[in-house]
Amino acid sequence: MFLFTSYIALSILSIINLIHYLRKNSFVDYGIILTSPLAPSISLLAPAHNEGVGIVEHVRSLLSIHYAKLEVIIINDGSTDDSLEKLIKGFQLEPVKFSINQQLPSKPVNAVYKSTNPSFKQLTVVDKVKGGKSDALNAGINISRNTLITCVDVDCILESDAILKMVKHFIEPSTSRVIATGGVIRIANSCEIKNGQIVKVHVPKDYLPRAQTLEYIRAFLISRMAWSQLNGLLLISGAFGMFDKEILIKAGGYNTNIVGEDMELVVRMRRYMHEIKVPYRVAYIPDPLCWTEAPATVKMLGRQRGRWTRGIAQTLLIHKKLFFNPRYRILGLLSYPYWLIFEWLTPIVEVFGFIYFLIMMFLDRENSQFFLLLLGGVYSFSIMYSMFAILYEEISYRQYKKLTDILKLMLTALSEPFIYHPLNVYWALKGNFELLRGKKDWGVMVREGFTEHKEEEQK
Amino acid sequence: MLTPHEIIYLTLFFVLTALGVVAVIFYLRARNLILHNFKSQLEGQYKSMLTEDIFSNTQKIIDTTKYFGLIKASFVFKILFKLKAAKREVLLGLLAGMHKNLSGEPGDKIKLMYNQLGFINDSYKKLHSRFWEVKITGIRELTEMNVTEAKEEIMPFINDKNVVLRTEAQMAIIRLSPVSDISFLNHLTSDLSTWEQIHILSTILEKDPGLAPDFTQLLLFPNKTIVLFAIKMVDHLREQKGTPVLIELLRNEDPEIRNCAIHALANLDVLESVPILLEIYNEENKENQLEIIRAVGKLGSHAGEIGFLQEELYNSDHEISLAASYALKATGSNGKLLLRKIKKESNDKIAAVIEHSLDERII
Repeated sequence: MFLFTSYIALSILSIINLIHYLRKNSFVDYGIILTSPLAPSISLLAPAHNEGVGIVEHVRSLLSIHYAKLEVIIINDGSTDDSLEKLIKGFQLEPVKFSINQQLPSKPVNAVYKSTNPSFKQLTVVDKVKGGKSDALNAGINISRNTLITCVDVDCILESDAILKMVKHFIEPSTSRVIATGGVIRIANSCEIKNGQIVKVHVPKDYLPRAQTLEYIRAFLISRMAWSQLNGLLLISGAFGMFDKEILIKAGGYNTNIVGEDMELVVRMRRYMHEIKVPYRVAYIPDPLCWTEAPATVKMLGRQRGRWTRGIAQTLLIHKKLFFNPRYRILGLLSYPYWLIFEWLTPIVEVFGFIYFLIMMFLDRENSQFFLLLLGGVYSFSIMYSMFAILYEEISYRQYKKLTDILKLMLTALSEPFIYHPLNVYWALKGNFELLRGKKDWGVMVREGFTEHKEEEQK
Repeated sequence: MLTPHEIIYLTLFFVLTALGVVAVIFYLRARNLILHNFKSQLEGQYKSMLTEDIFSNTQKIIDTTKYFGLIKASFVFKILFKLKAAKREVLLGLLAGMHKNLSGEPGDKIKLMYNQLGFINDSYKKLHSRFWEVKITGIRELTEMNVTEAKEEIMPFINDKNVVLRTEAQMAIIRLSPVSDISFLNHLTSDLSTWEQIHILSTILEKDPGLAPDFTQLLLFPNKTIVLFAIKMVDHLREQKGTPVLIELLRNEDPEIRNCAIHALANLDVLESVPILLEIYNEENKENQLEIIRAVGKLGSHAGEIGFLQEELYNSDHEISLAASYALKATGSNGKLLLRKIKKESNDKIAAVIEHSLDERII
């Protein structure tokens, strides 16, 4: 009952916040920020490791973002492919004598490149020894000159007004300091892309990306929206987030020893603000701002989910001091316990429950009727929850114009509890085993890339 | 612990709610489609009628009665929407859009239509709505139609707790004044956020940049955020007459105001501020020290100032050292020569800082 109630409470909170945001946003002219001399300056950091396929197109897409005071820093994190060569050729780069202010620890930088072409003057490319994503981001922060830091995955597609929507939170009137902002990440599989922009949105054709689409809608439009209303957000997706550079550095930058660096950074920044006793806020934007390619195979998705589980567990273990600690208010009393119980431990409890049921069945002591009733209850609840998520999508951004896309999502909601959910539980469990075994690496992520869609479009 | 009966009731509740949500999704889809089609159809008809009426040379007064007799809406539409309201909304939207791009006689005709059709009363009524978004719509309509008399009614909203409404009202006051009027800043009861500042600046520039108001009068205002805004504006609009007060602000107790004043003085090329900048340097926080170094680089050229920058080049703080190097470069060719000379004699760290600042490709 507690579980049901908490999900319903989150849904109600989310819809109130969502409607308020939409009403408020309908009067905003973001173009005003675009060229204003009063707008804050932003450094956009994109780490890249072996992204040779399509890196030039991706960087071009980042350079086309509308914002006057923007620098784009690409960090080539020890790529063994031809990423750097392609960047050098694609943007007419040459090494410069850059004196780095080593404010955050990172692996050595081999060289910093700038373009000889004035059209790319806001581009800086950093070539460094491989140290992982967080290490690359720390190196980028050391190079950056601006007051706000935006971290983005190099292969993501940003909406043209994404930066403007993010920056708005930092300049709006507020009684507390905004230290970070996150937005909605959407899945781009099967979408049509032209010139580095999404031109037509479709629900993915394949089952796994489609199930992830539904999962993302639930997570971003219900869960995170509600948590942001409570100022209890613990996670800003590593794919796209904006941070107050001063606080980011004072909190110690990205942790290079864990795989869940995005969540750990937000928790540490929040903790830092509590410790210096300055009112703060982690803001959230329900607009779809960033499009990413979701893993389409069981192997890749399993690897990603295992890593996410390890990241959550590592973060929660590092910051165990927060657990029900009234000093940290919402962070300690609500957000941390919620993540511990619902995001980390629930899959484990679920598996133990299932094993217990099997043992009881083997001993002929199970109550099959009660089990089936309970299963029906949970199943119908999960469908209702997914339908609410689709409704929220419908009343907010209506990304899926075709009715068939909505029907596909509804059908996915019906099958998800029996196909996608058990896989997720398995991967979460596997992630926990990997954590116990001390696995620290990210694992190789192979993506199909968006370029094929682009070529199809051109044909 | 739930009983089996309770679980059955709960399951039924979940299933029925899910079905209800699905029905709402389909209803919303259909509703949006019908409304969209209706509006497109109506817009098409209104547009051609308006173009004909507004650009007709013979017709001085437009017969407005014909505008609402148009289009027979379907039965479904009448059930789902308020037909009259939808028609008025479309027509008003078109009038406002056209008024934005037209001046002279066509513009006057549109305004006349706006009055004749009673839209002006609707707009005033909107100002008294319970809902802030309706108030904003009213403000926008009155501003677009340049109803200057509405200024008094809009004025109280400049201090509304809703920032969107507040910002809209502030912009409206500027737009409805013959010259950009910023006297409303005197009546602000809360801080002026960067968000509001950006909108005020944009509205002033959109109106007539040549007739920008005098911001120097606000430099000693009691509200810190307004002072910061005024400094930025004096800097941006290059209001030289504000320099004595800016120099005075270098002694202000607020470090943020001092920082902003240092920046503005450098941009306005106020050479006489340099001795004071050097005098206050050691007492300042790092942010302000960096700003002073940049300012001295831009304004200074005397031996004492060069010596100061040279000394700061050796500062153990990387940012200060780099800023000093850039500042020396900014003093001119002599500064660059000096940097090259120092580079030969210095350790690797200082040499790297100098090389960085001398590299023109790094901005």
